[in-house]
Amino acid sequence: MGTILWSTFAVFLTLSIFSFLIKDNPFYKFAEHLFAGISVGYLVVITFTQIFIPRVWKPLMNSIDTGNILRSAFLIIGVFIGLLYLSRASNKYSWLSRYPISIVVGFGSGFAIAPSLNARVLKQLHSTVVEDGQSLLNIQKIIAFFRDPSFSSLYNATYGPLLVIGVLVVLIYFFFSFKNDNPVIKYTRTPALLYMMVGFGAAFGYTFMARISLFVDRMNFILNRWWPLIQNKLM
Amino acid sequence: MNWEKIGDFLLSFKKKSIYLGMFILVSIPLIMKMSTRTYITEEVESIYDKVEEVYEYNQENPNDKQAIFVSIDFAPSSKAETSPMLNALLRHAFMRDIPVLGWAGVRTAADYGIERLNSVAKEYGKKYGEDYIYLGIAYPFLQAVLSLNSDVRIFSSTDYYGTDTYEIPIMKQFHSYNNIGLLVSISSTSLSELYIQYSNTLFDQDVAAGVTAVNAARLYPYLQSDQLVGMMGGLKGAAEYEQLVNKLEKKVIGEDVKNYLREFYKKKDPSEYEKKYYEPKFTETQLINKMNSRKLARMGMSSQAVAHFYVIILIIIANVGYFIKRKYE
Repeated sequence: MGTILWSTFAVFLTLSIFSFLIKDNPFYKFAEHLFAGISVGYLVVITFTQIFIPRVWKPLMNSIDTGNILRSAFLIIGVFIGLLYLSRASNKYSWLSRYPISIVVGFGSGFAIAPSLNARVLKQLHSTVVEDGQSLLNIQKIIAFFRDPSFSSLYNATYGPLLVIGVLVVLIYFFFSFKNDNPVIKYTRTPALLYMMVGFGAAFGYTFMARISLFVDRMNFILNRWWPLIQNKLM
Repeated sequence: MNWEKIGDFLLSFKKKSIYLGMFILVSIPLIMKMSTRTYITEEVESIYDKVEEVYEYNQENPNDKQAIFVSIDFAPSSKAETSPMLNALLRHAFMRDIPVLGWAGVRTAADYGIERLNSVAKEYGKKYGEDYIYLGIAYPFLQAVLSLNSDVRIFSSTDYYGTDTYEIPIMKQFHSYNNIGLLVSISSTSLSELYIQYSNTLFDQDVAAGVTAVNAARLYPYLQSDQLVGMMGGLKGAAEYEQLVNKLEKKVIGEDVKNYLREFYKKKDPSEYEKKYYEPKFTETQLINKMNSRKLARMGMSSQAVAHFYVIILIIIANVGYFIKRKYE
């Protein structure tokens, strides 16, 4: 009975949210407020039970029990610095919150610089010109296409140059966004826009797919999970 | 012919009737339980191949096995796309007896993650602590990812249930990147990129991603640079992996999976399984849900296809209407 009750309530909330498509109404407002409230409440509880208890409380109690003073001190200092965040509530002592912020930002950015540069710039730069140890501007592949014209040889011949040219024209477009009559800058604008339109189009297509997936999931829940439950109960 | 009126008519569809059309069209394939076959893309197949590679390695090296690490980085609000990916991946790993380690990269995934792991593990009779483990929330995330390089037990001193990780059998062998064959981030956030940035770049760990369609376009450059082993993008990626795993399941288990599941725990001693993790039996409703979950993404793709055609037709109608109106105005 509990399953049917909660599933029916879930269907009611789903339909309440969808009712916004007709117009704003009290059912939508109820579902929206309930979602916001439950989300915050859930996060508070989960933070306490899954982060504070296992990461702070239990290790602290263990280290006190075993007489591990160094570990206890380490945890207490950590918690104390973390609690300084709360000083933002006071106008007089809000400056204290700068200590935890500076530690988090300092460690985070300091640690992120090298791997970020490597992963997002150097490796990407490398793969823009080289793939599987071969240059992407490979004249051999173009010759191979002319020797044996086929769809796959055409793809192999054009894929690399199109990528390299695309990166260059888009970079030129952004670096020289001011009015400029230099022919290189002037004649690369349209191809750069085309490349970007393809990129935005792909992103939009994917976004559309994502949104429809959410709708499909809710409809699947109503039609293939909730409705059979009701049918079984009624029959 | 009054072209202006036709143009007006084509542009006069009300929003409500467009939504109603979408509602009806999306519902039909779901009511008819239509599941489409999809073509398999290289980026999805390479994740499947990598898992198979881990399986083969484990067969050849039974004393030095490798595990799969699954990071559940999505909130239940995006489970429509990510849950079928997670289901298919876990089914693949459990079917191949690959140990699975998991944690939640985001706090909202904490309970959902363990529910999914226990639910899929039940289908293959896998035991918590021996065949799989869930470490709860990876918080703070950066420190958690870094701890995997040495010994994650130092960072995650307890698992989701509060048990000391040094006392859990599976953690004795699998606690660092050394014994992780593949790390998969199933994500609706940008955490997949952080795994690329830290696990792959710093520690050379093979990383794969299963991401919502919104994030997929952003991750393609990492595939080209081989920083990602493979990627499942949105419901389409999930449908592809689901199809590959279903094919494997038919080979390993047989055609009648429902009957296999029905009989599975009848031959086993129920006292072997702790009820804390799952009840060692399937009810008829659970069996129906298990069978539906095996075609969840592909069923969704049928509705997706219809919805996409519907929108394309609407775009064409609106453009025709616009051009007619402009010409005759």
